[in-house]
This record gives sequence, structure tokens and C-alpha cells, in this order.
Amino acid sequence: MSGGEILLLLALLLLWIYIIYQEWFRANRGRRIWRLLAGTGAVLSLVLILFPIRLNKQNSRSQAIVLTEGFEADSIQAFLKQRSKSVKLYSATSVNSNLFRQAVLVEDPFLLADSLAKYDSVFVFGNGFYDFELEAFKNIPFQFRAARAASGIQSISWPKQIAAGAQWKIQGRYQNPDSGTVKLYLKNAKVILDSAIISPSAISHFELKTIPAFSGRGNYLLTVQANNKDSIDYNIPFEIKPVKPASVLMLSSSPDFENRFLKDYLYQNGYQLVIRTNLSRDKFEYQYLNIEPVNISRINAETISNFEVLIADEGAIKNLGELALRQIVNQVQNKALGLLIRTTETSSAKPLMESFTLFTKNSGEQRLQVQLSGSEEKLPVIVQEKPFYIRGSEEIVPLLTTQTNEILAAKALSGSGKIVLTTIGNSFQWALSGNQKQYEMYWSELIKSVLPNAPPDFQLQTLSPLPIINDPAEIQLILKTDSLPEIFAGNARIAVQQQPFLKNRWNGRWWPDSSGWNPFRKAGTDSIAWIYVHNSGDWSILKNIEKRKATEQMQNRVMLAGKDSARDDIFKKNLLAPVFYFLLFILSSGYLWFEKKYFA
Amino acid sequence: MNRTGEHIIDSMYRKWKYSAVLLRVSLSAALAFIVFLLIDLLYHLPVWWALVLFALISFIMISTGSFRKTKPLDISRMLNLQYEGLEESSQLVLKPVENLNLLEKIQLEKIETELRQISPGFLYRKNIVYSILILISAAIFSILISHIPTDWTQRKPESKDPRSNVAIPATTMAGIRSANITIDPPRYTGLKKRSQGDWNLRAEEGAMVIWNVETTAPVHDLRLMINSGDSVRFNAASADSLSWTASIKITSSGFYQLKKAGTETEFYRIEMVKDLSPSITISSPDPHHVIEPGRPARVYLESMITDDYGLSRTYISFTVARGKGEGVKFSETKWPLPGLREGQKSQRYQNNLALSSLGMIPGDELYYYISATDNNNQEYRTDIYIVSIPDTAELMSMEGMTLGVNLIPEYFRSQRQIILDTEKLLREKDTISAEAFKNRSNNLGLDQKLLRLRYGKFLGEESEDEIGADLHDHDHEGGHHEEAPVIFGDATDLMNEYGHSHDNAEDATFFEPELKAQLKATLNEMWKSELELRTYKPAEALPYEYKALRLLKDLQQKSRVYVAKTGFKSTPLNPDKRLSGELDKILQPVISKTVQKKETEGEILRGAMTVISILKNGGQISETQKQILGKANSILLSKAAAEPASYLEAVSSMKRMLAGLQKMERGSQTDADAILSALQRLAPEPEILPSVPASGGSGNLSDQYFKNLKRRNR
Repeated sequence: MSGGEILLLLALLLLWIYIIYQEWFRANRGRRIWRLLAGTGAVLSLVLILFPIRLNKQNSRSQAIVLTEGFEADSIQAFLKQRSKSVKLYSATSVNSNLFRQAVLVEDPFLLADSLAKYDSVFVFGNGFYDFELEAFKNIPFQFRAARAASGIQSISWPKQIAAGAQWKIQGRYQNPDSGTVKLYLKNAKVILDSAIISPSAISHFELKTIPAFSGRGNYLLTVQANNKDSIDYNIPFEIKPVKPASVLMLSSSPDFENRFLKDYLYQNGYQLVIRTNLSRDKFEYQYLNIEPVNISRINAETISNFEVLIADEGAIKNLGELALRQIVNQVQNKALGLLIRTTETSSAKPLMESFTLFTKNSGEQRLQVQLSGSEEKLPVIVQEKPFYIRGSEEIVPLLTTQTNEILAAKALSGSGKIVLTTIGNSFQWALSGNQKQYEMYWSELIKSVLPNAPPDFQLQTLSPLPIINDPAEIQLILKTDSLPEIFAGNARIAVQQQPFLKNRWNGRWWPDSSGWNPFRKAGTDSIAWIYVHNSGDWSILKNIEKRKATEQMQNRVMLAGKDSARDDIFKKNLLAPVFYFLLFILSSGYLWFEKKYFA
Repeated sequence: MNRTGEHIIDSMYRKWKYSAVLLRVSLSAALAFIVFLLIDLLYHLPVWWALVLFALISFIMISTGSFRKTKPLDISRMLNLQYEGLEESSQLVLKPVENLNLLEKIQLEKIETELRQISPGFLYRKNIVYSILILISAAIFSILISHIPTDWTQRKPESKDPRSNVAIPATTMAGIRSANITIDPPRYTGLKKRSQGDWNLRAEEGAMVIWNVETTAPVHDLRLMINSGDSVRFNAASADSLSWTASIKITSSGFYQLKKAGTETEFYRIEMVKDLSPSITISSPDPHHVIEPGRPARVYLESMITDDYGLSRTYISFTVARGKGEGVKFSETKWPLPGLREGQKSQRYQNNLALSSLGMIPGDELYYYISATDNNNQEYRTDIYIVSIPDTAELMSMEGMTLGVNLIPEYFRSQRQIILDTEKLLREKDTISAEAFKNRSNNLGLDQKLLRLRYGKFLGEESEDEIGADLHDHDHEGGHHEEAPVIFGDATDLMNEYGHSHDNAEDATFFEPELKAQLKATLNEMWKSELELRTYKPAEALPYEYKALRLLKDLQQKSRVYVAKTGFKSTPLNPDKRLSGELDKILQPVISKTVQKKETEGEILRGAMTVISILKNGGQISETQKQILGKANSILLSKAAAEPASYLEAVSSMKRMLAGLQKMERGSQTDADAILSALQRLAPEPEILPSVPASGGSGNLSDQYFKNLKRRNR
């Protein structure tokens, strides 16, 4: 009963008390009992108009009940009590209760579907079936009476693979039915890394984050600590992928600090760098760091095709010449070369920078409080002599903004490549003032934004979010080429099917038979992909939610198919037409009015 | 028989009194109960306290209760009010029969029958109902109180110090009957010698630790292994090789094991309590204190000196610097701080120091610091604090003004002149009339005001003479102002007079913000000076005048300073016009190098974390992964030596884990957890590097999509 209905009932109750009081204490006591009856009748009729009495009626059809895991005995008993005829009981799970000993156990869903085909209406109790089991029930119209949802974690997700040094987040929803708060901890063994508090009697979203210190496969624990209850630990597996250093070409119109600091940062971390710095007319300094020397005195398609990222200041781009420029554009748009331009001028070089419009509004020294978009952390204040801002438009994605939302660095798409423009020319000041971490954050964000998102040689992911032992898991392979892969889980070969549009992706179904990390091998390569398999008891709440959802969907599909028998066999019928209640109301209030007017 | 009426009233009276007492008793019980519960929440009390409270409160309630004043006569009055049948005469039954007249006797006869029919319940029913209600509400209240969460009163610390939850069982090895460890703290601590049976130690820096061990059977070699490296041999204390003794001096934290005939005990920790150097806080004066001219040459010194074990010597050192340029002379004096007893843990020093006692004259600067030495001969001294008395003579000198850029020349003299005039006025105070004194002081105030207004213009402040004409009177007195000729019919002039002009090009200033701030401060001082002068207190005005002058001189100096900007960026060269010389012979530099990546500590620790995590989840590890564990173990050992309380447990677990791996065992979950926790605390965050997201990657279809993106619709 909703709050509004309760309020309405309360109002009627007050009305009744008022009428009774008025009639009881009336000076003229004649016909008191009749007046009381009439008053009660009037209010009662109002109640009945609002909440008419309904009775259950039943169709005469053959019925069967299927018990699945998680069914509630009393709801089935209540169901059976409503029905006079005998109902056949089946169960898809072993039943311990003595009450339903007569249930016929059929574990295989297809056999079960065969046995159910002869019934007019079928009821499924409990958490229902898995997606893959439900295929059996495509032609069996059934009604799903889902078990009550359990409280706890209602949904959860976290990236299974991240790059080293990146922030890792686990997000989800938690239902807390109790009056006390629930604390969620993200832990590595005993060390708490982050925590969240779920307020009492609410469904709240939670987010826990950390920068994982593992290198390779690792596990965290998600510990749920409710008031006065034992804590529950959930295993959160993930894999840290080592960073693959990219190859970078840097073109510079003059030696400066910005390039120097950036060079040191990338060089120390193993990035392959070729730097060409203009010293004088047609005289350059060449630096080959972590890479074999190649001739780059001429910039053309061949020389730049070896690099993933091109970092250049605007002067260097202007000095390149028409032909080289056209070839860079071609590389960016067709070969996904990442282009990062540093500029401190308003004039924009076409066609590379046509997405960006620069403007300036206040000259003189400005102290800018800047922030990387998508990060809560503020970078230290940077002093700019005459800051240039990028005008916001649909074509660009801001990367670095000031507190007043002016854009200092932004990304734009160009064909299959990306172009980033930054107007900050002295980010080395962060590194100089001891904020190396913030300096690295800034440049990582910029370079990451232009890096080509090339498909890996061999990547494996699960489409079922939480693979559980002995339950099938949908896996997906992402490859560089479109050729048919041979993939082995342990020693068992997995049959895969190509996706119709994304031809480098292959789907397959895998039945894990051991928990923990399971290795996957692709024939012809040494690389191994890992998938973590949870124990059968883990995440049962989420599994049940998934099952209920799948079963409900299947039920609705069958309904839509127009099978009349899928409709409920029990229907409600009004005891009396509402007009009778209205008649009672007219009579009662009529009497009260009449009595007062003529007899009193 | 006549007395029956009186009996009835009496019994009513008694019942009423009992009910009143009952009400008070139950009220006190409730009060005592609640008060006891509330106190019990904060301080746990024995139950008999509740009885004492109850007795106390009920005694107070009953002895001071107003019900004692009520007499049977009042009851009869009450009955009269309540029952009409008594005809206002129930008090007759209380009178002696002899005193009644005939009419009263007849009335008495009549009402006694009435009285018998009265049910006196109404008298005490209220009291009884109230008592029950009070007791019930007390019970409800107590239930509510007991539902107050206990952490409201006893907050348990959420996260404990990592040290405290590292529990190292202090079990001894087999074959050792007893052990007694004596810790002899060094002299500077002033602590006594103590002994303990626990193998885990906590000792002061430099303490001697002596182990006295008795074995169950004779042994021939017993050693202490310290930090898994050094070993200390036990000396036999008796001939039967049953009792042994060894001693070391504690110089660092670490851990140790007992080694007996090839077997080792588990690790025990040695925590060293370091002796801290003294700490000194100077709360007054500021690090750089300037005594304005005209203020008394005194400075209030206040500082607090503390040490953990005791101070042995404290002193304050003063250095007076006199002179300028190459002729600076220094004279140093040291005063021991008074009232320090040897071994005292803290000392407060307060002194209102007269600078003249140090022989300071205007123009001198005083540098001072406080130094303290503790029992362990560790010295700590504060930064150097400076007190300076500016030389007014220098302030008045014209030297700086005749040189270089002169910002606002004519008005500088004015501030100087005002000071000179003020001093002259003060000198002549006794010789002139009070009227003349006030007049001259006021005039000086006006001069000061004019000066302030002129400077205000530099800041773009509105000068007052634009707003109204009230200044004209003063101008005549001041005699500084020349009135501009008025042009009749000029609307602009008229508008200027009544309007309020902003954005005046002349007002726009080109000062640095900092310069402006100082100019503002100068004006502020001038304000104060003017106030004092106008209220005929030239002596009070003098410090402000001096300060204004000093700030002006600073300003003047500032305008001369030029510092080139560090982030200077030159205009880029245009290679078409410049650099057109012969460059054929110039070689182009080529640099080629490859970074040698060393395996950092962080990488080893992070790698070890993954290995342990795999082992914990039942996976297999390779030989290289085992080697990573070995490397991580040596890092752990060195960390444990520095901080045994935090990492010793992990070292023990790692030892068991490595030993288990030799036997192809996986190790226990608790060991894995202990190691993981330690590694998590030790491992630094990985470096932030640009990389594509680990998942994703687009196929041919998306390539087609992105390639078509370049045809943008304009």
C-alpha cells in the first residue's frame, strides 16, 4: 500500500471519528444508533469505492511448477493454496525440503523443457536459468515468479587489464537494507587502499580507486563490513600490462628547455626518440635515443612511417615546406600517426591545426591554475607570459583547462589519427619546481591522447563479467589480422566464431574447470593471456541477478510471441460493481441529511 | 460514635499522605535510575551506587515535600468543594463535640451519614496513576539510553598503528630454560636499569643490552645473529655450560635471532628509541623586528626550550652590528639563560630587553639566536633573529634623492619638512602659548593631509578637491594651493565640479601592484600622523611620520632596482634575413645513446607482489619468478633492520615461504598475506607513462569509419 493510500485511509478514519463524535454528542439524542450506523455506512462506502474488494478466480487448465535454485518454500505453498486442482511439480535443482519431495528432478534444461511441453501453463520459481539454459525454453510459455532479490553488491565492474601507472577504479552498486552503515574496503592482503561507506537503508553507488603496485597479475580484496556481522571478502583479480614505449619523432625550430625536459623524461623511460633541432639555417642537431640512427634530414612519408608520434613546435612545422606537410597530413589521416603541436602564437598552420582557433584576452603575466580533464587533481600553478586559449568547439576535446574553463590543450580527430595542440610552452617549470609527478601526468595525458590505438597481436577478454568455475564463459579474441586463430585453454582447443562486422574479433564459449588464473595460448605465438575464474560460491548474488534478468527476458519474449497460455491462470474479479458502493453512500448520507432536516 | 466522621477524614488523610509519599518515592526511583544510567554510560559504576542515589534523592524529596503542610482540615475543605451533599460543613467533624453549638450538632449528624457514602478514591488515585506513569516512562527512557551506541562513549581507534598489530609471539626455542634480558639505558636518559623476559626489545640509543640465558642441556656454541649478518657469541657464565651471557650496545634498530648448534629461533625485534635534539620555539619577537623611531628601544623576548631527556646548557647570543659598508663592527655577547637546573626537561625564557643595555644606538642592528644543549651533548640553535633600530639621521639625508630617477621629487621634502617642523614644535612646546602650540600642530596636520592627497593621486584615488569646495578654506591656511582660473560658460568645468570623473587618463597609473601596495601603506601612515597632529598630539604623530618617510625612501629605492626576467623569450630568428653567412663548413652535431635500464627496487617489489599473489591463488611460478622473490627478500631484510616493528613479521613469513618453495610447497595464506602487506607498504607507485589503454583496439571497420571522418562537412 502506497503512502498516498495510507494518508487517504487516515483521512477517512478521521472523518469517521468526526461523524461519530458529532452524532453521539448531539443535543437531540433520538435515533442515535441509526445515525451512527448511517455515518459508518457512508464512510465505509467511500473506503470500498477507493479499495474495492476483489476475489481470485481460477482457470481450469493443466499446470506445472518448476523449482529452480533459490525458490522460497512459503511462496510456493501460498501459490498452491490458491489453487484447488493438483499442480505437477518439477525441479531443476536438488530439493532438500520434505515439503516438495514429490517434485521430479530434471537437471538438464532441454529434457525439462520436453516434459513441460504438455502443460497449459508453467510456473518457474526461484532465480531461474542461465542465458544458455534458457534456449531450451524458447517454445515453452512460462511465467517467472522470481525469488526476492538479495541485498549486498548489486552490480560491480572493474577493468580487468590496465597499463602500469594508470589509476584503477572499481565501481558498483550496493544495497544496504540494515539500519547501520556498511563499509567497503579495498585491500591488498591486510593493507587498506581505499574505502567507501554505504548509508543505511539505501542503494548507493560506490567507487574505490588506487594505482596498483603490482606488475603483472594481481588480486585485491573487496571487504564488505556490515555492522555486527562477519566481513565478506571478494576476490578482485586484474592484470597490469607493462607500458610499451612508443617511438617518437621530435621536430624543434630552436633548442629550448621544454624539449629538453621532455626528451629526458621519455629517454629515461625507454621511449625511442629521434630529435631534429634547427640550430641555424639548414643546420640541425640530430639525436637518436634508444634507437638506431636513421636519416631524417628529409621529412617524407617513408621517414615518418617509422614513428607513432610526432611532436613539433609550430615554428618547426612552418619550416617544413609544402610537400613534407602534405605527407604528414596523409600519415596522420591514413596511418594514425599521432601529432602533438606546441604553439605560442595565434596564427594556425593549415591544414594541421584547422580544428583549433586560438585567442588571447589578457596580456601580461598570468598565474594559471590548471587541471587535466578527467582528473580531480589540480596541477600546480603555472605562470604564462601571454597565455593563448583554444576556443571550444564540437571538434575538439579539452585536455587541459584553467579554473575558469578556458582550454589550454585540446585534442581533435583527423582521419584515423589524432592531433593535440598545447599552448603551454613552459611545463618544464613543474619539473624544475619539484613537481615531477605532475609534469609526468601532464605529458602522459597529452601523448596518450595521440597514441594510435592499434589492435594488439593477441588479446583476450571475457564477455561474461565474472567467469565462474563449471559455468560457461563467453570469451572474445581481438587479433591484428582477420585469419582464423587456433586458441587453446590449457590443452583444450576452443571453437571460435568470427564477428560479422568487426572481422578481427572472434567469440567463443569456454567451460572453465579450475578456479584461479587460467592460461590461454594462441598457436604460433608464445604470448599467454590469462583469465581469472572465480569459485562457485563467489558472487552468487550477482549470478542470481543475471539469471533472473535472463529468465525475465525470456518470459517476455514468449509473451510477445502471443502465447495466450502464458497469461496468468488466476485473475482478480470485483465482488460487486462500484455502483453498489455508491448507492450505499447515497443512502447513508441521505439518511443523515434527511434525519437532521425533518426529524431533529 | 460521634467520632466516626473524624475517623473517616483521618483515614482519608492517611491514604492521601501515603499516596503522596509513594509518588515521591517512585519519582526518586525513576530519577535515580536515569541519573545512574547516564553516569554509567560515561563511567562504569557498581550497582549499589544506584541504591545510594535512590536513598539520597528520596530523602530530599520527602523531607522537603510540601505535602507535609497539608492537614486533615485541608482534606475536609477539599471534600466540601467536591461534594455538594456535605453542605460546606465537613470540617465540623474535626471540631471537639463540646465546642459545637446546637445547629452545628444537627448539621454534624446530617453530614456524617453523607461522609460514609463518599468514596475517597479521587484523593489519591491521581498520585498513584502518576507514580505508575513515571515508572513506566523511566523504563522506556532507560531502554532508549541503552540503545545509544557504545562507540558514542568509547570510540575505538579505527586504524591502529601498524606497529601495534604486528604481533610477534615471544616464544623461545627448545632447550632454553630461562632467559633474562637486562637493558641498561645510557646515563643521559637518567633512566634506571631494567630487565625483562620478553625477547623483543625496546631500548634507548646507546643502551647496553645483556642477555642471561640458561639452557636445559650443556651446549658448546650459542650466538646472537643480528640483522641476519653480524653474530655475537655468548660467553659461558658457569663451568657446566648451562648459563650463558652476551651483551651488545644498541646503535640502531633491527632484529636478531638466537642460534644454537645450527638451529635458529624466529626473529625478535630491536627497536631503538633515538635521542631527540632540543627544540626551541621563539614566540616573540618576529624574525625581523624593526623599532620605529620614536618608540622605546626595548624588545620583548619569549621562547620555550624543550628536550626529551634533559637540557644541560642554554644560552642566548647577541651580536650587535654597527656601521656601514666596509666599516661594520661586530660585538658579540653570550648570556646563559637564567634558571636552568641540570637535567630539566623544559625551560621558558622571558625578558623585556632594553637594547641600550647592549650598547645599541640608532642605526645598529642586533642579531641573536638561542642555543640549547641536551644531556647527550646534542646542540640545537635557532635561526638568527634580527632587531634593528633605523637611523633617523640617515633617513633624513638627502643623498638618495639627488641621484637617479626621482619619482616624485617635490613632495619628499615635504614629509621630511613635516618631521623637522614637528620636532621643532616639540622643542618649543614649553616656550610658546598653548593656543599657538595647537595652531601650529593643526597646521602641520593640514600639510600632512595635502601631502597625502598628492600621493593619493598616484594611486588613482579621487582627490577631495574634486568632490566639493570644502577644501578651499584649508587651502588658504595651508597656502599651498593655487586656484585655477574659472572659465565661465565652460560646461566641462561645471560637470567636473559636481560630477565624479573616472577613467581619467592622468589617473591611470603604471606602477607594479607591489609598489602600489607600499604606496598605500605610506598613505595609511600619513593618515595616522595627520590624525595625531590634528588632535594636538605631535609627539604621538612623530613615529607615523617617520614610518611614512621610511616607506617613501624604500619606494624610491625600489624604482631603481632592475632585475631581468628569468623566463625571457626572444623573438625567433627569421632565417631568410638573418644567419645568411657561409655555413658550409659547419658540421651538424649527431648524438646517439641508449638508456641502460637498471632494475629498480620498486620493480622488484612490484614483481614480488605478483609472484606472491599467484602463489596465494594456487598458481605455479617459474624459476625467474623465484629469483625475484629472493631479491625482494634482501630488500625486506634491509627494511626490517631499519623498522623491525613494521617488517619483521614479513621477513619471518618470507623465510618460511622461501624454505617451503625449496620443498615445492606453496606456503600458507597468512604468510602470503603478511608478505603482501609489507610489500604493498614498501612498493612505490609505478611511474606515470603515456600508453594506450590496455584493452581495446579497433579493427578494419573502425579504420574505415575514421578515414571517412577526414571528409568533414563544413
